[in-house]
Amino acid sequence: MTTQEDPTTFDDASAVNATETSPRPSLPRRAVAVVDERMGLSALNYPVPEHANNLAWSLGGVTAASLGILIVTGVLLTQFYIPDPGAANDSVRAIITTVPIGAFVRSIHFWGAQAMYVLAGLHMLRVFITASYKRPREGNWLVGASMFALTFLAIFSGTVLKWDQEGYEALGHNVEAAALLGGAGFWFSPTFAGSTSLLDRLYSAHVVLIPGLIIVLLFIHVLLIKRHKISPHPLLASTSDGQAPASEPTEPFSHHVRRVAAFGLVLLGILGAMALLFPVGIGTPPVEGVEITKPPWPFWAFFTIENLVGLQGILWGAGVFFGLIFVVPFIDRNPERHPSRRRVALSLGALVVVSYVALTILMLVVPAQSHLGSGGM
Amino acid sequence: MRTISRANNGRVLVVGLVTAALLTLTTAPAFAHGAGESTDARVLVLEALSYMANQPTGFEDMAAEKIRDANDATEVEGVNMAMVRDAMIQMAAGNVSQSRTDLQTSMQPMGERATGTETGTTLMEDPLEPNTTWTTGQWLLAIGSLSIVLLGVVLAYLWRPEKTVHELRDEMLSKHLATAEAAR
Repeated sequence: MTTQEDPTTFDDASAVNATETSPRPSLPRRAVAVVDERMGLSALNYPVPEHANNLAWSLGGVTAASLGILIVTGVLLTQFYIPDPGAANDSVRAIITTVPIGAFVRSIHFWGAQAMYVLAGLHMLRVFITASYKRPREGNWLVGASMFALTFLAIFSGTVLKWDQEGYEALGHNVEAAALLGGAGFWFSPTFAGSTSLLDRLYSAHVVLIPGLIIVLLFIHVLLIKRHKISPHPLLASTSDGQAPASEPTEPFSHHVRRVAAFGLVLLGILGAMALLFPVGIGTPPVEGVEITKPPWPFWAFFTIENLVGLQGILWGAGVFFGLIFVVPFIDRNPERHPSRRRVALSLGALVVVSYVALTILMLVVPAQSHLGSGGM
Repeated sequence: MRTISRANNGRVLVVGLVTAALLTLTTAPAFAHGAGESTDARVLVLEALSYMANQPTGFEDMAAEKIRDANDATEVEGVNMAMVRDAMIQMAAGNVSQSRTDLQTSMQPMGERATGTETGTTLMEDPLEPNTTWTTGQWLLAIGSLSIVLLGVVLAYLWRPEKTVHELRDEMLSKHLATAEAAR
């Protein structure tokens, strides 16, 4: 049998030649290739404008990283938390005092929530300043604004869950504000599900409903970014259909992802340091008819308004604040993106931000006041 | 373009003015604390205990008033009223600590699970302040956290964009000018 007739005969010469011309990839590269073939990782290498890799354009990704940290620490906390009014406060105390690194995990969760709110706000501010909400990205602005509102609700529900005096007073304000809404506030009515405590219902909202909605909206948000592409930088040229110019250099999207991951590591480390330097305790078990605490700082602006005009101020303040955020793309139809040609919009935006900050700071100097009807809710 | 810009600026200004008007002209009576005090001794005892535990300004007078209200309450289920009266005597004598112990002892176990907005509170504990003394484990966590920060900073620096936005703008402007020059 000749070499040509026997296909299994090994040709030493050709084998040596093959080795010299195409060296075998390293093990890590082969492993990546195996995963990529099945999971399509290389699909992340589509080009994005180079300006997408700076910190300002990565804030959305870092906000998502904070969400990931909150979900991981939150899952750990749910293993030890008891969502029953008679045991919730004690279970949090047990997490702090008896569960290994329980205090650390809880503090990361607390500071992670603050970080997510701040990062989401900074991300929205960047999108506003760079006019990235303009056509065709108005829908994505609405999706992002919805996530911001849900983050606000997550902080509220999380505050209540610790079931101390501060959390209970937050719930009290919410129940009375819902009562002002009449039928529209039915979900927060104690009689809507009379045999279940509001704590139980807020627990299900905090661990399932709100994060679930945020994740769904995040998925839509990312798909819309892929659809509409990264918005152009206002200091660089842009096309008439709102895209970055072809002349701007590009980088693979995977480079953006890895840089966001690096920022995420920085965030994780900072949260760990904050958890150790500023660990979080818990207040006294709640009592109805007492109003002696101040709410967490994200709510201070609205509570300053409440101190000025009464409980309705919370509804009006929150309604105007979030209402303005939602209507931004529809009242600012100016197609211009450069800051010098958007002075009115930027000035009004600055006014809203300054007002929010001023109302927040005012709460520092105003003593806690009573606004809830006494005798419980 | 100027017409669109002016119309848009006008629209934005109108929204801003309307918003300011809504915020400043809308008023509502503030709820006054104290209207409609509870008549449930259990609630009043808990309120007194909360003032003693949280110690806001003037808490002794506030707690004493709640104890007196509890003593006069019409609904006394779940409360040992003899202990409430002992607490009132101790409070009047200035023994806040003993008064608090008596009040806590007066609370009898609740048979039913709390529903709606019921607090479920039976034991008034002091605020739990976090432990700020570091153990070996916390030092290790601190070193780990700092290491993660450093790693993130180094990676973010290594993976930074090749050009800043201003460098990009200058480069694109140069290319545009070169192209225009070549076209001439």
